Formats: sequence, structure tokens, C-alpha cells
Amino acid sequence: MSVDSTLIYSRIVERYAHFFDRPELRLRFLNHTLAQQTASREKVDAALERFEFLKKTRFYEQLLRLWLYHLIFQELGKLLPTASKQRRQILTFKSRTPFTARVIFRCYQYRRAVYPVGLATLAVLLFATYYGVGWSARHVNTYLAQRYRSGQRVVAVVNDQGSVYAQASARHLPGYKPEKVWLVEQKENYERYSNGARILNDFETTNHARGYYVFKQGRELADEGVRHEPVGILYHTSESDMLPFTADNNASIETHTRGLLEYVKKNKSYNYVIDRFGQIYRIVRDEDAANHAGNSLWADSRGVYVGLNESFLGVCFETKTEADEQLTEAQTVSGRLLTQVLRSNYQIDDADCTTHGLVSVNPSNMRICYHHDWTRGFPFEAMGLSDKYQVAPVSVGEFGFTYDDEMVSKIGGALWPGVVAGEEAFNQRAGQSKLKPEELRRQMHTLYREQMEMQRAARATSTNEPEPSSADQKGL
Amino acid sequence: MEEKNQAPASKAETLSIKSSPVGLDIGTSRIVIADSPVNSDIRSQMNAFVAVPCSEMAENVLKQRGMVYERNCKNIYVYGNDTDFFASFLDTDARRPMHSGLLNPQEEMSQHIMQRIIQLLVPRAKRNEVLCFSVPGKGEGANGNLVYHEAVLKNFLQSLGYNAKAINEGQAVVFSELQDENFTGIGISFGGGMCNVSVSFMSMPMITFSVPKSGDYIDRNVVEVMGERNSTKVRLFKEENLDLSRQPKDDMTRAMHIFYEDVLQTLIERLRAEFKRSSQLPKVDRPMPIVLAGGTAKPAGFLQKFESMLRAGGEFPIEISDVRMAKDPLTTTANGCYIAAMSESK
Repeated sequence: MSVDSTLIYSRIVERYAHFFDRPELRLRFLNHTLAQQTASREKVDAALERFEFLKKTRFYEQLLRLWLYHLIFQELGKLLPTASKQRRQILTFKSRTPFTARVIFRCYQYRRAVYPVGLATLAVLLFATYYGVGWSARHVNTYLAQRYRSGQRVVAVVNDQGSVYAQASARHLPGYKPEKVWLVEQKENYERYSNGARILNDFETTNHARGYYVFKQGRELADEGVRHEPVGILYHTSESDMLPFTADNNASIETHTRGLLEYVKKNKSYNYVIDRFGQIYRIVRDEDAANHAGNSLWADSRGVYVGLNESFLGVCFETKTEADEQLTEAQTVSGRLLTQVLRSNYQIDDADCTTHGLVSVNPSNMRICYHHDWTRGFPFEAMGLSDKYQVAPVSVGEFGFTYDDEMVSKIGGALWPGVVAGEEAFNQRAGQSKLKPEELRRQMHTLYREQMEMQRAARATSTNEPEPSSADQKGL
Repeated sequence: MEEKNQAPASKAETLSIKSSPVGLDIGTSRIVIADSPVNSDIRSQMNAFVAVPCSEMAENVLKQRGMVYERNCKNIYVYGNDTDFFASFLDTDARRPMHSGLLNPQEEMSQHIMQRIIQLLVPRAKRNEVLCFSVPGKGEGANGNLVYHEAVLKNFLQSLGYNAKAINEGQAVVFSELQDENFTGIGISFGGGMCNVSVSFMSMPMITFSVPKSGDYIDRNVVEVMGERNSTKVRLFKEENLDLSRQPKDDMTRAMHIFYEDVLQTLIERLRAEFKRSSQLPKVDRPMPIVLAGGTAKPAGFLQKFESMLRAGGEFPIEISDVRMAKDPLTTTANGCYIAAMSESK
């Protein structure tokens, strides 16, 4: 044993020698512990004679040190008084024993209890660290989003009635108008359009007829009647299982698609599905509402739409939010063609073409993003549309819906810029009304619920059917 | 010895049976026993004897005074604490069973008398109790004798039923006085026959040695230079009147100063040399204390004299924290042996 090792071991043992007031006990403790450590080291050294390199590692020294602690505690166990009262006195009031030595020995004494507590503490610490890092990241994102929002092209426009409506900046595609598209050919199982779009009818089905109101400010309606024509397009993701998009998976991919189509047909979930090969399937006929949007809100220059199943066409891409490649090339092309067809057929404004995640709300807690599909990454430009992530959602800007950290985390840690603009618009409106934002928010929530009820009534008038559950029937 | 008479019954019966560890300091001038943690229980006997030719008159005197003695056909031997009185009574020098810390080879009766003195103090063991006894460290020309000395004493103590273990005398000083330092420091015992030194680190003796100069050397040389007839007078003067912190007033005191300084100088030089020579010493990370013990260290001013001579010699090879005198210099070694025996006991 080297001189340095002796010194290190002696220092450790010495700290614990202060437990003993009686000289003979202290002497016995020092002698026994150091002698045993020396003997142990000699044994280990001899055993590792052929593995000299191991002895040079720090791990080896650490291991021997741990062993020394074991010997120390063993000796303390033997030599300290057995009566628990006396032992407690020694451990509590022995001022000359270093505090760390007392704590470590106590931990050793209660090690059977300390181990599970330690493990639990470690687990809590790990969880807290994980949660803390996540929380910090979200807040940093929010901070950065707020810090740089002045540079965003957010347009939160207030119309004559004071309502916030969606307004595209149209920077990406200035002056773009969809060309006139017409039906070229109609066969038993498909339709072909002048822009090359081909819509398959194999899974076509019917549902109840559309029926909705358009609201202006407050409870005022844009017009008295219930409207029936589609006014916008909502893009969805199927969130179904994704196989690798390779040629050898053709058959399996098609099998998956077939399962999806049957499910969507059965539940009347969307008006259109675009599979991974870019084939467009009509499911619920255009004049009928599909169960795709549940509780949702959107607005344009005409007014506010509540519950978009009735007023918007649902177009679903067979894909998943977390997929590496969200859309295949074929899906992108088909999505653009279908958008052109629908916009042309129903004179749909660019402002009314958005995604499900941007319109979905949860009335139970008055928060946005109950569903998350396409809250980021939707290729608006490739669809010939302006970027709706830059638009203030009416749910936030008009009705004061909020969000929480959990939601931000679920959508990837960052809000889209439109939300920030919406919050700003809402707060400005509260200021102009000389109300606190919370007061205005309460008023708007009451109004939203009233509008929801009116929308239900409109649908009942149109179909004489009760509205299905507010939760979307997505779940593949 | 052809015929033996035991000491008077009253004293002989003090040999009861012992059932606890024992510490025994077997010094050139005194044998001290410690067998309890209470310092006042420590007992000692002079390690000396006086022999007088056998006569009925002398034996009657001894009997009347209740003295411890032994008789064979030629002589009567008075030993232990009665020796001084009887030596003064006969105006003769007491004889020593030990010389320079070891059994005295010149003294025919040394082993026998020492056994008798030890038996006065040490009762028989009950169940192989541990007994630690002091032995000197290695020194000039004493190495072979040391082995013999240790073996003889060990055999005798084992014959009394003990598990006998030898402890270096300097180390015993460390055990007795340096508990707070976890037995790290330098213990020096200034005995009658020699000075014993132990440099201890965490109870492990790193350096031990002895210097064959101490109280007897001082006495012998003072007697010689002063032309005295026997050393008892010199020894008594030294123990009762000497003050090393004051300037000497007479020739005897001056001579004592000179020989004390000689002893100390020899010891300090040897200590320096041992430190320089030793490669075994761990790098001690703190200053070490020095503790002085033994009868020769008793005179007033001894501590100051030692400290001043230590500092005067220039930088010491290790840092010294303080130099201190043992609480009770005469019983320190026995107490250290007792602590060692207790620590060895199960």
C-alpha cells in the first residue's frame, strides 16, 4: 500500500474515530479498521496481479475506498454501545465527531429504509428534471415567440361590427385565384376534372344535410336563414398507422388504406380522404355534413362559423402528425387538385381553407387545440393557399379561448404566430371596452355557448336529427 | 537459591486472582502496574533490591518492620519499595535487576528478584487475560539483549496465566497521552536506564528507537565527577531539588545540568537522524505533538529545557505542534500499556 493511500485511508478512518471517547475503544477501532483494510488491499492486489492496468484506474481506488467505509461501519457496529439510547446519544451529541461522519453513519444504520427512500427521491428528481426541462423549453419558446412577434406577418383585422375575422396576408401567393375547374367525365366509380383531379366514388356515402348559421357580433345573425352550402375546407390527418412508403410495402399500404376508408365510411368522418398514393376518395357527399370538426370555430369577413361539421368540407390526408414525411408527393399534388376543385365548385375563399388544429376548441375548459392535426407543418402554399398560421384564430381573438403549457407541449413546444396576434387583439378589445380581459372572456364564453345552442337548433331544423357527440370520431 | 522464605503473609496474600486486562511498565528503576481506568489505582514497586548476609538479627528487624524479603542459606534479599529504606539503613547502594532498560547480565539474581517484584504487583490471571508490558526500543548494542529480555519477561508473565504482549515504551506514552490526536505524535519516555522514543501515526509506530542514556547515566556520572560514594544521595537530590529552569548554584547542580543537557542533546540528534533516515514515514498532513514522560522528566524546567534545545537545533524534519509533559509522568507508560491491553481484550 502506498504512503499516499495510507494517508487517505487514515484520514477517513480518523473522522469516525471521534465516535469513541474511551481510548481503548478508539485504539481498537483504528487498529482493526486499518489492519483489515491493509489486508483486504493486499488480497485484492494479489488477485489482480495479472491485471496491473486495473489497479491504475480511479475506479479501483474508489472501490477500495467504498470497502473501507464498509469496514468502518462494521467496526462501529461492533464497538459502539448496543443500547439504542446510548448509541443515539453518541450520534446526536458528540460534537467532536464531524457532522458528515455522523450523517453518513446514520444513513448506513438506516440503510434498509434509506435505499427505497433514496430510489424514490431519485425518481422524483429525475421526473422533476424532466418536467423542469420541458417546462423551461416551453416557456423559452413562448418568450421567443413573444419577443420576435413584431417581425411576424400577423394580421388581426377587426371588421365593421368589431368581430375579429381571418385575414390572410397573402404574401406567399399574391393575387392568386383558383382557375375555373369543371367536370370532364363521370363514370360509375370516379369523376375526372379539368385540372386532372380524379375522385373515386367507391366508398361514397350519405349523411344528414348541412345546416348552419353565420353569426355576426353577439347573437346577431349574418342573415336570417339556415345556410346549406359548404363555405370552407378543413384539412385533417387520419392519425392511422403508417408503414414505410416503399415499393415492397405496396400491398400492405393498400390494405391499411382500405381499412381506413371503411372506417371513415362507417363513421362518416370526412368528406374526402386522400391516400398515400394520392388517390382521392369521396366519402360523405359534399351536400351532407361529415363528423370531422366537432367543437370548432372559424370566421371570415362574412361572420363567425360555430361547429364546422355543418359549414366546412373535411379533407383528410392519410398520414400522422409524428410521421417523418407527413405528406407524400402524390398526396401534395392531389391535395392541391382537390382544393382547386372544391374552391371552384363552391366559390370557397382562400380565407376559409384552414386546418382542423387551428379551429378545434374545448368548451369544457375554454381552451384551443382540443385536436392537434396540422397545428404545424401544413403546406398551405403547395395547396395554393395563404399561410393560416399567420392568422389570428377567432377562438382566441374574439372569444378569448386560452391555452396551457401541456397543450403547447403537445403541439411541439411552440404556438403558431396567429395565437399571439389573437391574444393581443383580444386584450386590445378588452381595453377598448374598459373591461378586464377576464371579464370580457367570461362574457364571450357565455356568448359562445349561446351560439353553440343556436347552431344545434339550426342543425335540428335542417335534419330533425340530434347532433352527434362533440368529440370527433377520429381514432384510427 | 537453596532455601526460600516467602514474604510475610500479610503482603504475600495480596496476590489475588485477576480478571481484567493489565498494563505493566517494567522500567529500570520502577515497575508500575495499571489495571483499572482510575489513575489512583496505579501501584508501583522499586525495581531494586539489597542483599545482606543471613543473620537472625537482620531477619528479626525485617519481620518487625513487616518488610518484604527473601532468604536463602547465604543472604537475605530485601526488594521492592523497602529497598531504599534498607539501603539507607545499611548505608549501601541498592542493586538493580535491570540495567539500561534490559535485564542486568551482571546481576546473578536479576531474573529471580524481578519475578518476585512483579509478583508483588501482578496477581495470577483468571482466564488468560491480556497483559501488555513495556519493552525498550532498539538501540546501540541492545538488539540481541532486547530479544532475550522480552522473551524472559513474556515467559514469566505467561506462566502467571496471562496472554502477554510486549509494547514499545514510547508507543505506550502515545497511547496514554495522544488520544485526542488519534494516537498520532511522538512519545518519549525518559526512564531510569534509557530514553525510549516512538513516532506514531494513527496508532501505528513508524519509528521506534532507544538511547542508552537517561537517569542512571546522569546519576552515575554525577557521582563520578563529584566523587560521591553512592548514587542514592545524588538520585534523591535530583528527584527532590533539581530545577533545570534556574542557573546552577553549586557543583552538583551544575554537573546535573551538564549531564541532563548531554542526554537531551543525544536524544534530539538521534531523533533528527532517524527522521532523515526513515522512508517509512507517511506524509503527515498536520503538525505532530511531542509528549514527555518518565521519572527523569520530573525535575522542574525539564519541559522548557527540552523545547529550547529542540528549537535551538534549527528546523526540525517535521512540523511540531507542541511539546507537552504527560499528566502523570511516572505512570504514563503503565497507563498506555493498560489502554493497549484493553484494546486487545475481547
